[in-house]
Amino acid sequence: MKRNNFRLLIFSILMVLFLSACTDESNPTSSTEDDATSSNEPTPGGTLVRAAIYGDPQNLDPMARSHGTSTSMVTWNIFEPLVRYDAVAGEFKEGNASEWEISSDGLTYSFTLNPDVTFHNGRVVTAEDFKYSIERVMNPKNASPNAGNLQAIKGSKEFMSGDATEVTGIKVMDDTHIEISLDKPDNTFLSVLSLPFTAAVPKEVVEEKGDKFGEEPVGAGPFKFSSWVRGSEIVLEKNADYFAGAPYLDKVVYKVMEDQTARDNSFASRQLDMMVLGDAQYARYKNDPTYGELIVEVPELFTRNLKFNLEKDGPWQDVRVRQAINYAIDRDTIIQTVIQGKAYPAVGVLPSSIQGYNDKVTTYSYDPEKAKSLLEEAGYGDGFTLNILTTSHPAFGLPAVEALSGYLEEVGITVKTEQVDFAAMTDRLNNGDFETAMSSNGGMTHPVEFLSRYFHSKNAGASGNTSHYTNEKVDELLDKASQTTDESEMIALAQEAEEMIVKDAPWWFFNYNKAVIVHQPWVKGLQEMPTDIDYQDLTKVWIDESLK
Amino acid sequence: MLNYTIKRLLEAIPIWVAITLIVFVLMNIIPGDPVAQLMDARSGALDENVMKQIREQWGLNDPLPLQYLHFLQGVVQGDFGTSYQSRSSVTELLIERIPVTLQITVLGLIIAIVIGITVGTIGALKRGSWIDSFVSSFSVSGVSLPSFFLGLILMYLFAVKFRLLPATGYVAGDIRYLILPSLTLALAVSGVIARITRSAMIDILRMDYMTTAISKGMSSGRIIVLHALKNAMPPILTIIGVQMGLLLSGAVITETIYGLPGVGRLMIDAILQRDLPIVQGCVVFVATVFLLVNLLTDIGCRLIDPRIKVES
Repeated sequence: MKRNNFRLLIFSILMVLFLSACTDESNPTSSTEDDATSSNEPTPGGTLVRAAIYGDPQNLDPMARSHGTSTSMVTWNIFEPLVRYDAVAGEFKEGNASEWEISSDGLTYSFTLNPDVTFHNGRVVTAEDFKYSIERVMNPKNASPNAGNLQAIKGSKEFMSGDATEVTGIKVMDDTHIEISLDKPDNTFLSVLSLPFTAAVPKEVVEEKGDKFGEEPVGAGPFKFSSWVRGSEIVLEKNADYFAGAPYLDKVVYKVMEDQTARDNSFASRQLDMMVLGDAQYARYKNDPTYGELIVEVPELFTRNLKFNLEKDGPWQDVRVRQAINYAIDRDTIIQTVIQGKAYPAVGVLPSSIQGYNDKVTTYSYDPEKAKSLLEEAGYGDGFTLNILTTSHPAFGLPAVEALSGYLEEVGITVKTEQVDFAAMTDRLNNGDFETAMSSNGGMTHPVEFLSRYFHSKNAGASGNTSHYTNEKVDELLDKASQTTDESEMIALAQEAEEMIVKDAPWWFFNYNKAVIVHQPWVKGLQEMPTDIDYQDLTKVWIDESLK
Repeated sequence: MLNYTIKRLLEAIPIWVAITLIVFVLMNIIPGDPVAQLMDARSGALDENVMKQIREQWGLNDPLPLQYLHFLQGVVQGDFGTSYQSRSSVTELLIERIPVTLQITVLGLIIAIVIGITVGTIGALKRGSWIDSFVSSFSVSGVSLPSFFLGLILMYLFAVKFRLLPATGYVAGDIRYLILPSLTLALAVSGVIARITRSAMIDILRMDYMTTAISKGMSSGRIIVLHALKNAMPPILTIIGVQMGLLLSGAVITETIYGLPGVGRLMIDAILQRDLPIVQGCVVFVATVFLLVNLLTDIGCRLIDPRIKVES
């Protein structure tokens, strides 16, 4: 009898666990109910807990780390650059500088600083601070990975090689005026000045803290650094003295969570207020009756592609073979099946959210017959073997390569895949040690910068053009586009260059990433940020406590 | 005992050096340039001049044997170098992370020992019954379930469904954040401890002196704890020592799942980013702990069971 009772107890516990797993109590109350009590008027206060999915920034000194998501999503809130790029509106807006002027020859950028901007230690930011901060990035002793982005400034080469003690192209006119001169016109330069690593840092704090500045940074941005438990969380608090008005949020907590399932569980248990969704989760949240309404999505400035190494001998040296591969693969079906609809089909190089996007570019549609005839014409009617280097990434890694392999095999091309991790992939791409490789490129907000980085012959190799694509006409068009001061001319030239690149097909144009955020009902003011959806303007975000 | 300890410590040094050498060589032969990882690898564009400058600063242009000697020289002075990615001292990073790993492994070990010994003892006492079958199933499940799977199940049940504990994260001094990770680690290890305890206890319970103790009228509690369990301890202690290694390796996965800032996660991130000084620092730490635990286990066994001393 005793034994039977014990068995019954065990059975009951197991049943409770099983039944609890079958019910779903994790969702918050439905949005319809919420709307009845919610207000659309932003209210100050509250804490936003968000997931930082790309890992710990490791160092919050904007000079020390590259402008990558994990760092910039935090530093953009701590530091105030000269100008800010409003990626949603597609225009530059006031930052630390209230006004700026570009000379008619495109060589000199003059900035007037807003006299109300103060560092978090209370000191007013001056023009001298910008000179110090920009030179700090370029100083070879500091080994900043961002230094390369500032080489357009006059006198940068002499300074970076140690032949000069200051950069001649940066002139402090007075406390509130600074002029930056370039060696040659470059209309992509303002984008560089909108990035956190060119923002001012207070010299006295940097010198006092030394290497520790990256652990306790002081800037002039809308949020102040509060605390950091490495690998776990970073906490920022409101800068009540922010020159453009204090943000609504009292606090922002970045939870470092690289594991997708852990993020899911934390979000379901309401530990997280918002998170970026991965491909595997997208369909589930999109179809969820509550969270389907609480999704923000946008085509991000990244283009996924299969790149051909034009430096290596092989059938892909023939443009008809590359075009045939573009015709042979049904990208739409792969996007719907493998990526669960979390991407937009690529028509060309430039994603749909960048200035100058051209949906009329002569693109490739799925046409296996045309692919076969092009292969026949190129002398590869009997097919050949193509080696594809890939990573395990769920959206542009092995699963996508396996899917496209099926299509290529239908036109006679046998695919062999090799999977490596991201670090090894970077190495192999830089060293040209691949035939074809699946990757994702982008992040730039300027169309000419985007195209030049990946297709200008001057950037062949590690600088970005890992396909080693060379076309003199394209180089010429891109050079002209970067130097003109006429915006419409710049766009026309960029589109002409893109048309030629797409025709030459150094990539198989796969898709533009659909970046997606899911948030709790009480989080308001999130935006469709195309540069990277993680770069939310947190001064606009607020918490509706009544919905909690 | 002192001579024995010194002899064992001296034996450990070449093993420890060999481990650091193997890690150094491995990290240098696998593809993946640490400087490229510092640059904006996501956008896929690097500046070769800047990379050259950084390489020079980090001493990566020196011959490999020289780089290794610099590392060893630093370690002897307690300096593991500077992280490529964060530019922080690796020693400081380790000091920040070690408490988290130690907390979950020690707590995990305590839970595992309590569960393992209790369940194993009950299994031995109820040998052949359905309770014994349950103990065997528990041991097999504990060992077979991968910690990432177990971790997610526990997280789902206790954090998402019942909302009793936080799903992820770490707050210093708040034990609630340590319970699920420790339990995840403990369940795998407790299965092994239970199995060894059960078989060791069965062997002991068959001994003549147990019959003598029973016939003398000693209470069953005293017999089990003072006679049986004490004499069954050497194999149990040995397996606990070995399991410390399993706990440390399990911590790598557990810390990743639960978002804990421990040594395991530090090491995984460092490997992915080819941050060699951190990888070496973490390996040296894990190897040192492992060697010390083995040493302590051997010493513990000799103290508990004098027969080992006589045999050796």
